Formats: sequence, C-alpha cells, structure tokens
Amino acid sequence: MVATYDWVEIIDPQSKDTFFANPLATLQMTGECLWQRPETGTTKPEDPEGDWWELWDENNQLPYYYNTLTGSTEWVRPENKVIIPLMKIQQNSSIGKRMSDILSAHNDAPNFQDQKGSVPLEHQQRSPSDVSNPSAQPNTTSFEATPSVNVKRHSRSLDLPVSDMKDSEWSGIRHQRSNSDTISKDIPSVAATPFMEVSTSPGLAPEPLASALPASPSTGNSSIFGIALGRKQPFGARKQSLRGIEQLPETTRSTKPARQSQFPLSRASIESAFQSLTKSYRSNSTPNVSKNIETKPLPKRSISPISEPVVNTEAAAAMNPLNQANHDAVPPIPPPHAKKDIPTLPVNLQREITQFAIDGFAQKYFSTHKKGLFRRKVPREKMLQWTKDSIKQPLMILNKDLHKDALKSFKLIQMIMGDRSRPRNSSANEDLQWLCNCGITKGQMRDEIYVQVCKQLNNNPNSWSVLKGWEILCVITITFPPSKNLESYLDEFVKQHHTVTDNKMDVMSRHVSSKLERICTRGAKGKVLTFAEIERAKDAPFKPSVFGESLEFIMEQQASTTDMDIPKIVPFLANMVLDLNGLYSEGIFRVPGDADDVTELRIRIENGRYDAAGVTDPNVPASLLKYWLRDLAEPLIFTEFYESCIKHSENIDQAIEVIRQLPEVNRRIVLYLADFLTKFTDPESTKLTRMNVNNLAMVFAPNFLRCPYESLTQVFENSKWEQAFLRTLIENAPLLHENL
Amino acid sequence: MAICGDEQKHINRKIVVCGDYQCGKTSLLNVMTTGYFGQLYEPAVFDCHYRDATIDGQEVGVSMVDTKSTDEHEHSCGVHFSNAHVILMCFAVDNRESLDNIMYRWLDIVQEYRPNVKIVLVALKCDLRDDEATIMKLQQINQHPVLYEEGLATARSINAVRYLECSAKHNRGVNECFEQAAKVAMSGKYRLLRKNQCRSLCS
Repeated sequence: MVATYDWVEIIDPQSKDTFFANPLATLQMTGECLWQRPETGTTKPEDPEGDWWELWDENNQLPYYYNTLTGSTEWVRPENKVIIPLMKIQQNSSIGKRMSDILSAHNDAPNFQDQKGSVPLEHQQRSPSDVSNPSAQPNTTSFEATPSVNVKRHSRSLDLPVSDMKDSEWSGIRHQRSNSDTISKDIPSVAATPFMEVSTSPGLAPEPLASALPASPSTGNSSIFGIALGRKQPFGARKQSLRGIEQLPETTRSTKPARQSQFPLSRASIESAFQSLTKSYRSNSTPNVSKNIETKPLPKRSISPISEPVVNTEAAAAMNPLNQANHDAVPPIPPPHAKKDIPTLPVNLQREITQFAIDGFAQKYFSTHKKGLFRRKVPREKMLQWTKDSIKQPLMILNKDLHKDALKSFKLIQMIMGDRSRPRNSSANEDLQWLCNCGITKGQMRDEIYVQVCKQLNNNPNSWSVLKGWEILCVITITFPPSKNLESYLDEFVKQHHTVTDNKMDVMSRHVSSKLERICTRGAKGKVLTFAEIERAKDAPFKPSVFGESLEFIMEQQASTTDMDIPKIVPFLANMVLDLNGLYSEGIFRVPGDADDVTELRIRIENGRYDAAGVTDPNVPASLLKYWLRDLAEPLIFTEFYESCIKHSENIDQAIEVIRQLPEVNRRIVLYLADFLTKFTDPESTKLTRMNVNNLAMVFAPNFLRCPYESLTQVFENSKWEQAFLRTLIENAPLLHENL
Repeated sequence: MAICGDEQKHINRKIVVCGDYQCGKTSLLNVMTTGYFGQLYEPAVFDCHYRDATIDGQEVGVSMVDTKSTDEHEHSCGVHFSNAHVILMCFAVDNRESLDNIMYRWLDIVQEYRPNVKIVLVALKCDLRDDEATIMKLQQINQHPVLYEEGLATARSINAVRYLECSAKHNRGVNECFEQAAKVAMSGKYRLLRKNQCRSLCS
C-alpha cells in the first residue's frame, strides 16, 4: 500500500485526544507521534468509510485490521482500502499500547451482532471467508487484542469522560443509555436487568471471554455459533469459560441458541470489562456492551431449534421424595374433635383415627419387622400396639449403633409404665433421666422414644400403665422435641386424647399438647432434668406453673388466692433480692446464682411454696427473676412492639407510648421492674455492686425484649438498641409513673 | 490486562471467646488488640475486634468476638458460635467454679450451636497463682488456685486442641495465645490434644 501522506490523524478512542502519527516513519524508526498538528508533511484526509488500521495481535503473532468507523476487525487485509500501518506505534508507544487494549476491550460486542444473524450489518459482508484463520485463535487466553472487534464505534460512547466511568459502572451505563439512539434500532434488546445482576458478580476471569470469542469473527451466522461454541470447549477454553457457559440454563433457558450463547458471552464480557474498569481506563467499551444487550430486539422464539423444557409436574412429583412425603403428610383426618361441645366419637372410630395418624408416619419411617419361621412381615398395626414383650428391633429405621439404645429405651419405658418388672436398686426417675439424656444427646433416638411411648399407649389395657405413659410424655416433652416429620402425627395423637375423660387423660393430654408446641419452637433442653424437676413435670398437668406460661394465665391462676395486680412471683423475688442485701452485693444480676439452688427455688415456687428459707445468696433470686421473665410464653414487651422499641430506644415519650399499648399486667410489671432497678442505680449502691445503669440495662435487655431475628448481624446490631431502650426505661422510672 | 490468580485470596477467621463471668475474657481481648489492660468493671458488650495477622506466611484477617456470660445472652452467644472457626474457652485460675463450668455449661452450649468446633482452653489470670491474697482467700474455703495439670486434664477431657495459660494483666502469654488460636483456626484438620502440643506460656 503506497502511502500518499506523511501524517495520520489518530483520535485516541479513550481519552479523545487527537494526535498525529507518521506511519512511514514508524516503519523505519521507533514510531513518531505528535500531539500537535505537524507543520511539515501532509496529513491524511479522513476516509468517509473509516480508516483501516493495521494492528498487531500479540497473542497470535498476526496482524489484524481495524476499522475506525465501524469498529470491526478483520484478520484478512481488506482490499482496495487505505491501510494505515500502526503496528510499530502500537508496539513502541504507550499510546499505541493503550489503544490496542481499548480495542481488545471491544471484543465482546461483535459477537452479538454476528451471532444474531438477523441484522445484516455491513461488517458481515466484510467478515472474512477464511474460517481457519481465526480458528487458530482458541489458544488465546488473554483477551488482549483479540481481533474480533466490530463494535459500532460511535464517538459518543468513547467520549464518555473517564472519571465518569470510573465512578461506577452504573453511571456509565446510564449515561450510555441516553446516548444510545444511533444503533438501537437494529440491535435486539434483551432483558437487561437480571442479566446485569449476574454480571456484577465478580470473580470471572477475563479468559472466558477471550476463549469464547475466536469463533465469532468468522461465523456471522447464528446457527453455526451454537456448534462453534460447543466445539470450542475442547480446544482452548479454560474452566472459567465453561463457567460462563454453565450459567446459560439459569438465565436463558428456552431461548434460541444464538441468544443463549450471547448471554454467557456478554456476561463474561461485561464482567471482564468491569474488571478492567477497576484496573485502568481500558473499559470504554463497557457501555457499548451493555447497551447492545439492552437494545436488541428479542429474537424470534418460534424458530428455536432446541425444544423448550416441558413442565411435567407429575413426573417431577414422582421423582421428588420430598413431594411424596408432602402428599402423604397432609393427613386427611377430619378436624380434631378438640372442642368440648362436640360429642365424643365412638371409641372404635376414635381408635381408627389414631391408628391412621400414626400409621401414616409408620409407613414411611418404620423399619420392617419380620417374624416367625417364614420371616413374614409384621403388620404395622401390630407394631403400633401395646405389647408386654420386648422388641427385637427398633421401631424406626435407625443407625446400627443406636439399636442397642432403642431396645434399652423400650425396656425402660415398659418398666416405668409397670409392664415389666423392675430390677432392684433402680428407680423410675433414673430411667427417665436416662431417656432424657438419650434424647438430648442422640437426635435420632428422639423420635424412636416418642414412637415407643405412643406404641405403649395404644390399646393399653391397664389404666395405671396409661397414666404412667402420659407422665413419660410430660417429662420428655419438656426435654426434647420430636423431629419435624413426627411432629404433626404426635400432635394429632395427643389431641385425640383431649376428649377422653377417664383417667384424667384430657388434662394430661392438653398439658402435653401445650408443652409439645413449646418445645418444638424452642428446641431441646441442654441439660438432663433433676429428680425434683422430673417429679415436678409429672405433677405439672395438675398443678399449673408460673413459669413458661402466659401472663394472662398466671394472673387467672392467682386470682383466687391473692388480689395482687402483678404475678406474685415478681415482688416475691424482688423483695428476696433486697432482703438478701442484693443492693450491696458485687455484680448483682450479672453473677449467676448457683444452678442447683436456682432450680430448687424454682421447683419450690412451681409447687406453690413461696418460701425464701435456706437461700442466702441474692444472686439466686436475681437469676430466677431473670429466668422467669425470659421464660414467659410471650416476651414482656411483645414481639410486635420490638421494632418500635428499637427505633425509639432513646426517646422516653415513644417508649411510654409503646408501653401504654401493652396489656395492663405487662405494663404494671414493666413499671414495677423499672422502679425496682432504679434502686440499684443509687450511687451508694453502684459503688458496691459495680453495676451502673448501663450494665443493668444490658443484663436486663434480653429479659424484656426478645430479638426475633436469627441472623448474626441483626442480633449484634440490635443488642445495642435493646440496651439503650432499657436504660431509657430505668432512668425515667418516675416519668413512667406519671404517664402510665 | 488482569492476570488471573495474582491476587491472594483473603482469608478470614473468626475466634469467639467464651467462659464464665468475670474470668477476664474482655481483658484478654483488650490486651490482644490494644495492649491495654483496663481495670474497669463492666460486663462486656458484644464486641468484635479485628486484627490482621500473618500466620505461617499467610495473611489472615482475624476477628475476635467477645461474648457475655450471663444466662440471658446464651442465645446470642450461640449465634456467634455458629460460624466460629475456633472457640476460646476461658476460665480463671482463682475461680475453680469457672473451670467446672467449662465442662458443665459451656461445652453444652458450644455443642448445641456448633458441634465439633475446635476448642482452645485458656487459663486466665495466671498471675493470681502466686498472689498471696488470692491464695489466702482460697485457703479459707479449702481451695487452691487451679494448677496447670488440672487445666490440662480438663482440656483433654473436653477434647480441646490446645491448652494455653496467660495473664492479661502482666501481658504474659497473650500474644502467644492469639497466635495459637489463629493457627488453630487456620489448620484444616481437627487434631486432638497431644502432650507435646500443650504449652504453658505463662510459667
């Protein structure tokens, strides 16, 4: 190509700086560039069709050709065009280097157009016929200077101020959107939003782009692309590129392959562009890319060569074990006859229903028992009935190492219920402790124990044994919960006894129901019950407790004995703390009382004995007071007000407003405790207790408020505000009195 | 252009400190992070300290979480345990009960929220072992400060990975404690305590 000029005007696509290069000189020398228009020599006039630059692809060690107007690149030298050889400049000058990078950053865009096929763009006519040449490229692993650029270069996109781009990719994109009218018509739009979300996720290396690219300059035909993409993998595509393509089903299912392939590619390209954005100024093309995606018309789905996935719910359900479970798990049992006004069902029918409820569970989770000479299967109904014999296998499918435990637990249950003679030197409570311990430590055993008890309660001819069986349920339902699978069946089983009046079973079953509900939400207890606690649990159905109940219930309970307007346990414990010199004992409310003493005092109160005898440590009642508050069925300040408490934690007026909305009992307790705690903020007292108002507030915050969140950050964040709220309450106790 | 893999992956490790009230958890963390030993009496707020460290040639961001020991904070403690890499169980040598509670209380809580986590047992306030007043006070109730051997025995029985001793007040063994904890947090495998791995950093 004979040059008829000395200088070429080059516009740096990125900085928009114009500079002048002497290509001829560069052939001989190291390349010559000027910022000012050179005074000597002729400058090449601008070609209306765009200039062609000859550039060097470092990876393939091949020259390629770039059109400044269309932004397209070719491997093959365009004929009959004026070609400006910029290879030397590219290699020797920093500007050239940058330029090549910029060009390479364009790489992604052409693919869309090429594969789209539906838009006949000029570059397609120009796209090289020689497929083999670019296909030598798959080894390209860096995307530098991959000559597949045929982005429509319109100066505006490149004009974007660099700083703007750096600020955030989004601003750049937005900017670009508004400018995008030039090519928007013939470029299909693809739903951009979900796509952009994907694209912002970091971590995809630039490689996938490069390795995914090479086929594109040559193809220019959508149908080929799908194949080319598939074929390319064995060549040079690295794992990362696979990743990009694997994304495909998620985002682009049921579109035609050409479009499918656009997604991973453009995704990769945007990501890589973003990456480069953070690194340098190279990413001018980013807005182009994103714009291209946004503005393309939707491809026609009708010609989709790949069948769309057919939703076959039946098949899916059949294959999904969970679904199977769900189908059965909804027991078509008539609503339980829990209400009193409904007459009791005939015993036979009731039994059948019970049978059914447990049977549904048994069908799924029970192991098969075989019996006799011919190893015949034992029917499930049999397995679920009371027996005086021992079992030879666990009822449920358990790990091998738990079989022994399961058999032992069954024996113990029989002993406790009096169906089996008990060896000397053993007590029922010890056995119960063993069962509790087993359930706490071995998760699998929980259901087994529950099922075993149910089995022994089913068709049990002995009423004494039934009573004992329910006692076991009373104890284990405050120790560990059944699994989610068993929960509904067990609940159903217990509810069926709500109406059985003989043997006080209605009272017991109701109690067990409520305990069951509680343990299911709270999870297993950490510690094995003490003997006293076990005894207490057995009595619990008949002697309601003041622990773990709702305030309403507690007030109802004490209505007959006292006319106090708050639960009497509160003043009892508070006075006990004061009597035992709590005001002057170091770390009051922080130091825990001895666990055994606390339990002892609790049992005492639960049994109705409000008796402070024998307790010498103020920390014992202090601990118990906190425990009682925490253990209430509903938090003292209801969960629905939690948010507003947190929000207005330092505003006393708002706090009063919240407290005013509480039921009267709760309000009185809050008042009483605020008063009580104010006594501890006295400087005389804090000097000895070393518990200032902050410390007190922090210790009491979780007792007043229960954070309904599980997430670490929420718990962490809110604990500060909970404390602040409590501090507000304590500091403003007199104000509370006036306003409530 | 970006070269893949040139950036080192940043590693974060979380250490959670737990133990009985007033055994010195907060002081330990204060000395670990700031080097300052405060005499303030204050139940800890949930505090998260962050410190960068180089462990075995690798940059690690170590976050250390302080917890409150009171019963009502058990749940929030547990939330912290649930993603901890290592748990420092602390006890004070002048308080035998705090050692017992490791076995009876803290182990249970930890097991519940994060079974099989790596545990490091730390004896705190080791300076009090030689403190006349403390010894006298304990003698009155027929006790003596917890000995190294006793701590070690507990460490073995709870399957701790390390047993360390330190004194935050005199800043003895605190940095070693941090290092060891971070190392344990980094080590992938769960190793049981063996004799040669125990160190008495204080004495």
